[in-house]
Amino acid sequence: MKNRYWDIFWTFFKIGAFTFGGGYAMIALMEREVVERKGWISSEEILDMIGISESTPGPIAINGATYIGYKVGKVWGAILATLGVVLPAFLVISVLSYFILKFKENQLIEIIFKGIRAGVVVLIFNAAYRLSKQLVKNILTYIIIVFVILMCLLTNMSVILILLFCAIMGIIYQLISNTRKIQKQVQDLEDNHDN
Amino acid sequence: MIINVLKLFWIFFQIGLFTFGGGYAMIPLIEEMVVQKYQFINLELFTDMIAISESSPGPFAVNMATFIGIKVAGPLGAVFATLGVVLPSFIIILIIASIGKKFLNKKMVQAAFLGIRPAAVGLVIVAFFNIFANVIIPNVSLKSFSFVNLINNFEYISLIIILIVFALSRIFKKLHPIFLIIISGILGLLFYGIPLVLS
Repeated sequence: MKNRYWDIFWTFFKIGAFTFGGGYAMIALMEREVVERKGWISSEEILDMIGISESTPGPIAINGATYIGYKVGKVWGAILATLGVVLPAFLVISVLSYFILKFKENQLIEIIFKGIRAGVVVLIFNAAYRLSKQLVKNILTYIIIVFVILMCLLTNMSVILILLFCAIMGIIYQLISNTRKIQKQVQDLEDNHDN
Repeated sequence: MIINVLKLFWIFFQIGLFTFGGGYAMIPLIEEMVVQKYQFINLELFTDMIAISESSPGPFAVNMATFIGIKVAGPLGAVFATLGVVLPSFIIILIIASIGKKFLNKKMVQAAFLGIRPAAVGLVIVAFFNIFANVIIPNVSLKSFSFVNLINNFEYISLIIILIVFALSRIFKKLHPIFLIIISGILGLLFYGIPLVLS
C-alpha cells in the first residue's frame, strides 16, 4: 500500500509539472494517466469528476486531483494527489519569483516585459472570446454579462458579492422558467380535456 | 510577520472559495484583493505574473499565491498563501467524494451556474478592459483623466504590439500561448529597445 501512495503522489506531480496554464489541459492529462495508463478509475468516474469540479469552487486542477486521489487512496490519496499537483508550480514559481524581484529594475528586462504585457492583453481577449462562445444564449446571459461589467468598472462592489448576486439571479431565472413550464403543461392538459 | 502570514492565508482562502470557471475568470477577484485592497503588488507586476503563470506549470491561482506569498512574507508566506488557495477546494471535494453526490443539490447548483457562468465571462471582459487600459494608457485613471493626459501617456508602441500579436493569434489558431508571450517579448525588445539604442 505504501507503494500505491508514492505512485499517486508521483503521477500527480508529473501532471502538475507538465501542464502549463492549468485548467482543462490538466484534466485531459489526468484522464490519460489515471484511466488509460494506470486504470485506477473508470472513464465514467472521470466524467463525474468533471461535473463535480465544474459545479464547485476552486481551481479545476485541484478539484480533479483531490477527487481522483480520494477514489484511489481515500484521505491520504487525496492529500498526496493534491500535494503532487501543486508542488511543481510552487517550486517553479518560488525560484522564478526570486529572479523576477531581483531583476525587476533592469532596463532590458523591463522593455521585454513591456512587450509581454501587450501580449497578455491579447491572451485575455482570446480567453473572453473562447469562453463566451460556450455560453447558453438567453436573456439572462446577456443581462448578467452587462451587469458584471458595469458593476466592476463603475462601482467598488466586491467581486465576491457580484458573483453571489449572479448565482441568485440564476436560481430565480430557473424558478421562473420552471413555473412557466408548469403553467404551460396545465394549459395543454386543459386544452386536451376540452377537445 | 505572523500577522502577515495569517492575512495571506485568509486572503487566498477567499480567492480559492470564490474561484469559478477556472483560469482567467478569477483575475478580477485576485486583482481586487492583491492590487487594490491590500496593495501587495501593482498592476504592472500583476500583468507580468499572468504571463509568467501562463508559461510555467500549474494552476494560475497557485502560481499567484506562491508569488505573492514570497513577496509579502518569504517562503513561509508562500506556503500559507498556497495552502489557503487549495484548502477550500480540497475540503469541499473531500466531503462530496466521501459522502456522495447526493449531498449536492444538483438542480439548485445547476441553476446557480446559469448565473455564474456568464458572470465569469463578464469578469474576464473586465480583466481585459483593466489590463488593456493599463498597457496603452498607463498612469491615467478616472481621477486624473483629461484629454492632454491621455495623449501624453498613450503607448502607441504597445498598441502596435497588441495588434500584431492579435493578428498572429488569429492566423495561427493552434499556436500555444507561450509562443505568443515569447513573440511579444521579442517585439517589446525590438520596438522599445531600438529607439533606446539610437537615442
